Amino acid sequence: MRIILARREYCLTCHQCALACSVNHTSSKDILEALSSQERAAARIFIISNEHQSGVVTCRHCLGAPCLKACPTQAIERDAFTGAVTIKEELCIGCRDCLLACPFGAITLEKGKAVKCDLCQGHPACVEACPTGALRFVDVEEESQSRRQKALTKLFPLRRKR
Amino acid sequence: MKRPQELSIDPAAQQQIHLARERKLPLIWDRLESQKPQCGFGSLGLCCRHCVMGPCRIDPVGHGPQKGVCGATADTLVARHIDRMIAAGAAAHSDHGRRPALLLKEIAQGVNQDYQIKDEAKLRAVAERLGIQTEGKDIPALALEVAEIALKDFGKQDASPLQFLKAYAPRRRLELWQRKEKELFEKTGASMGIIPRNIDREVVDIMHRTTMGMDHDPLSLLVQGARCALADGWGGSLIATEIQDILFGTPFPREIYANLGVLKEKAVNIVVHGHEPILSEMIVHVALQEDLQTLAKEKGAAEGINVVGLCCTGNEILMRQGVPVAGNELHSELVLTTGVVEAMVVDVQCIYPSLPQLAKCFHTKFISTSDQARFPGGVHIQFFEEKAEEIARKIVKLAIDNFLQRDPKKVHIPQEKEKARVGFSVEALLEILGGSVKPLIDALAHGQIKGIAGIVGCNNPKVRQDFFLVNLCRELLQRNILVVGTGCWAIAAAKHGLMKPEAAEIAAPGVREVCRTLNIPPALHMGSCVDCSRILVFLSAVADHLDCDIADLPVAGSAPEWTTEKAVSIGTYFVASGVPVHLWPEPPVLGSPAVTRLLTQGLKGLLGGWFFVEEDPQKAAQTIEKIILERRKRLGLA
Repeated sequence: MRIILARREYCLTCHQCALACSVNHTSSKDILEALSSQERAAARIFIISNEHQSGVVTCRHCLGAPCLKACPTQAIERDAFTGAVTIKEELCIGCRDCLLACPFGAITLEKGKAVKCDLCQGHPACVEACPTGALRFVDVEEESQSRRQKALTKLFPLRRKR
Repeated sequence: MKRPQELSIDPAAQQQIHLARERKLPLIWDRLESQKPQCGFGSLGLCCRHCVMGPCRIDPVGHGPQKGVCGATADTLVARHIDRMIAAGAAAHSDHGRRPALLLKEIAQGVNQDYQIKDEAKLRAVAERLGIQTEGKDIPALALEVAEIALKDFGKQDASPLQFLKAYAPRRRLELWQRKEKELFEKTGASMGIIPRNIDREVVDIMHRTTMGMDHDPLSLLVQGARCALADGWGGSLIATEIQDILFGTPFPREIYANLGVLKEKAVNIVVHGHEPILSEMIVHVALQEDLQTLAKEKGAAEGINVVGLCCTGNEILMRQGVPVAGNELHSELVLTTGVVEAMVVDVQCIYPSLPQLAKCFHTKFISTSDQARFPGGVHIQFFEEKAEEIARKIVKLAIDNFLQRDPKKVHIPQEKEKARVGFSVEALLEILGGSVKPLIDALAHGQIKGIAGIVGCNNPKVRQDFFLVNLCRELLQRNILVVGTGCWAIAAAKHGLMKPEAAEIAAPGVREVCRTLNIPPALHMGSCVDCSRILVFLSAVADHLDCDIADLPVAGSAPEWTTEKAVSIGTYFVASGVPVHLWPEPPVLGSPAVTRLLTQGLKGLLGGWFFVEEDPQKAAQTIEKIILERRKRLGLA
């Protein structure tokens, strides 16, 4: 399955990803519509900083998702198609156990319910919006395989024929 | 969340920040946190919104676009952006300067009866400097001529240099600018002007030049930036300073108190905030009127009316009237949290729009007065120069009436206040030196003083308040470099005791002795931010005395906590006048290595000054010392 990865060295913290995320989680998915109807949606991607560094944090859609295990109402489930860990709004009671369970702080609250990255049904708006390519939508296993290939050439360089 | 001690080195500020947090009052530092991390494109100057083919961004790190829709490169974007910052800054200072010029004309014509010309000697001196025949002319006639020359500098359409610049800039500098204009033409085949023609025109030129499809060459963009900045320093700001001196008196040394401790629990406190002295002078004047003082006492304010300043309006009236100053820019919210401000009266510039909202958490009336600066949520009392006294009385009465609304439970005035000796106009310095700059030049020549540094500019919540302003000053004094300055630096230095004559103790022996002999503090308050022109005029006097250029003198400048576009204009006119300038935080130019190189190296060969960026006060002081020592060596001094 594919997840959103951020390359910190490319990120200029322009907030374009968060804006696109918010817009894509309004009912119209259109910025002008959202502005005129004053509908607001929380961004599910977080641009954060401290004294020395800044970066992007969003859900890893963990294979052993602690949020999913923590949810007492089974509101959190795994999407069969995208593999995303998603929250069923109608089942969420706002107990916030998932917020505490997530080691990345990737879940937030909106109107008393937990909300999180849902991978936009397999087409993440944040990745599309990123102007520098800092965000990528990557299949981790494929990525790992390609790194293995790269490692091969590094670990075992070709012997030149004498 | 950062502790108050990490946000400001000022104990009064720390107390009030702590208090505001306890009461859940949002302050500027909280809003800065909520903006973090700030957009990298904006910070690097790589975002362009000049037309609606955009907005465009250029990707400095990734594989994104390297050109805007129109084809503009990072170099163009950054140079255009810095030009517009200069234009905005020059516009602000110069539009300020226009007001006193117009007022002087109205007084001369007898249209305005509320103001008088307080300093006739200065009027004569300015007139003579401008080449006006003064003999046999009365004061109104001279005032009219000076005002008209000033107003002409805003509006004349020929390409001749500004009259004020021609009259005040040192000979060698004028020659250098003319020579460099020729050289630029010979080198590039394009006409590039350095000497400003008309204050307003240079701002308009930048707005025209930076619109879509105009100037894309970083060099000619920056040369026009320099010209516009010079129109501010040797034009708009200089006119503001000189005519304000004529109207309200040239500053001479006097003692004041600085910091929040100047507020009085048993008085009606009026804080005047902003930049101009025209209204605030009148408020100071009417607040002393007996009937209003009595009225205040009748309302229970045993100590009457207490007018205090803030920011550059504060600087204007402390220099001329000895009015105490409550603080610099980052104190503007904190002063309200004391709960004893009956009215905050503002004119123009550097007034946070958060203030009226914060005022509502107390009984404080926030009163705006300028048609150019309106604040939703505040009270607006329109100021007209021709009805100045009437309006000022109305404002003071409103403050007096508000005294009874004060909630004693919300009162907290920090005890901190520090004595400061201020008021060092060029005229005052010359008088102290015995009528000529020669004693100072001797002290420089003998190495008693290594050099002179000017520290100016704002507070910025990104920098721990006053930390850089004060520590850079200390570091320089310890290196035997005399410090002069204006604006929010000057208030910081006053608050932290650097403007007491006793502060000479912390300076190295040379500066210490000079200060003791002349009975001056080692950090000299030269006024508000338009009064940076006083520094230029002083440098001009020294350069002309030695028949050299400002770029030959062992001097440097710094704006170590800068915030505004005005600071970019000030920095640029010092650089364009031959003074190297330190900046912190870094300006939004790093997105273009070519423009950054021009600003930090290229300008040196062209104008004699350049910019450098440094985050650490000690290292900044080291670099300034190095520059000064190099210049001394070039002059053949040890």
